[in-house]
Amino acid sequence: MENYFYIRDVANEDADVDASSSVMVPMSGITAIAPGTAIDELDVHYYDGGKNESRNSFARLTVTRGKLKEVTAAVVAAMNSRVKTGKIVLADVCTTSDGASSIDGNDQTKTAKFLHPDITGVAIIVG
Amino acid sequence: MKNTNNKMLFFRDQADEANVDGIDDQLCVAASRFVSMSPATATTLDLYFHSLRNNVYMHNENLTYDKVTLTITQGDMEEVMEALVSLFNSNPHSDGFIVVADDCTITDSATASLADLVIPAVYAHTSITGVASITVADYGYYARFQDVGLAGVAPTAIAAGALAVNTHYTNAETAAKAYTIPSAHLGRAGDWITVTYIANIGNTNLHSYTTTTDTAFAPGSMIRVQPHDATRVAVLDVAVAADNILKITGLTNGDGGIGTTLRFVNKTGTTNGWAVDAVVLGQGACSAASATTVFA
Repeated sequence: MENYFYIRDVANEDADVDASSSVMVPMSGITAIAPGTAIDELDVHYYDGGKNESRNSFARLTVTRGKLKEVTAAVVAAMNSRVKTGKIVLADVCTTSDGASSIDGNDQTKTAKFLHPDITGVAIIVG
Repeated sequence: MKNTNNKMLFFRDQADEANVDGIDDQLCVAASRFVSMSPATATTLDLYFHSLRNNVYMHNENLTYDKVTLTITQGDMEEVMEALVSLFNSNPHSDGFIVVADDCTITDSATASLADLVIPAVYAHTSITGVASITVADYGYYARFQDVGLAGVAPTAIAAGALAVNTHYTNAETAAKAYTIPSAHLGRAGDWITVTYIANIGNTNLHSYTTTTDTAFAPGSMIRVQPHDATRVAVLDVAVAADNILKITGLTNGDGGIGTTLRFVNKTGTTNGWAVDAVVLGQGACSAASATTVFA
């Protein structure tokens, strides 16, 4: 069984509408993890069905300063862990549900989730 | 129980963690992307990886490898390569995080007590002495000008207003007309539009092709007016910053003749991504100099 990272960068489910909002990517599609453009940014690069088929996308994690290596190690450990369904939340900043008939109901408060306590935010950059 | 199918190789080439702010400072790359390693000098070893930023399974003819260069003890090239291979094939019980070489010896933190602490550099083999460089290939795009007349489908008659991407148009309009090119960022790299004139533009009538939301054509976009005689000489106009309109003004015995072709291609799928190659032919006697066929 293969693990998959789930990533979502919108605060309200009503905005979860395209590839730059959320993505589920298999661990075999992770190509690299590297700093972004600042000391508190860590990019997780992956294959996906982005709009430009010849280039990959990445999730830019906001991480605690000085924790780039620790978070990288934690992400790798998660990639190789055993989980029941295969789904591992890397980062999900959604805090408001959507849809009156949805499982969570409409406009209910949700809790943002991060794989590691030193991850504090995420942005999906579609290739 | 661990699943170590996803081994990741860690490299860092900065001594001070405060300087780790880019992909050329630290890289954790999937071992599955390793291609080969070979000496660069007597004391440096290059490790090559498939491009992490690009999809190597599609349009990969122009891609270059990512590369990490390690500094090693002279004379230990084979030993280091063997050690690395052993490392790649080891750690069956680890979490997959493999530190190959980490030059960092000074910590960084927003918390003063955690900053500027001395830590040991880490190397997977005693003959690895550092990371000389990390080089990651930039994004590539498969975005080339489409040949005119090779679509395999009948061309579409153009009409004023917004043009559709991935469409071959013919232009038989002789009156003044304004056309618009869709926003580059709403499309994708590789989108294209071609326009082939099958009628002469009327005298003084302007045909304009304006980008939508984009403020400029991509650098290198050009208009090429073909020469005919000593009066109607060749003209080349290369787009500069803020040029987002391609103008062709019909001229008796001058610009805007049948056979004029415009080829647009979205080079990046991002803002200002549209490039254009325009070849403007003369009409009539082709005796009037090109005057107002320009970027603006």
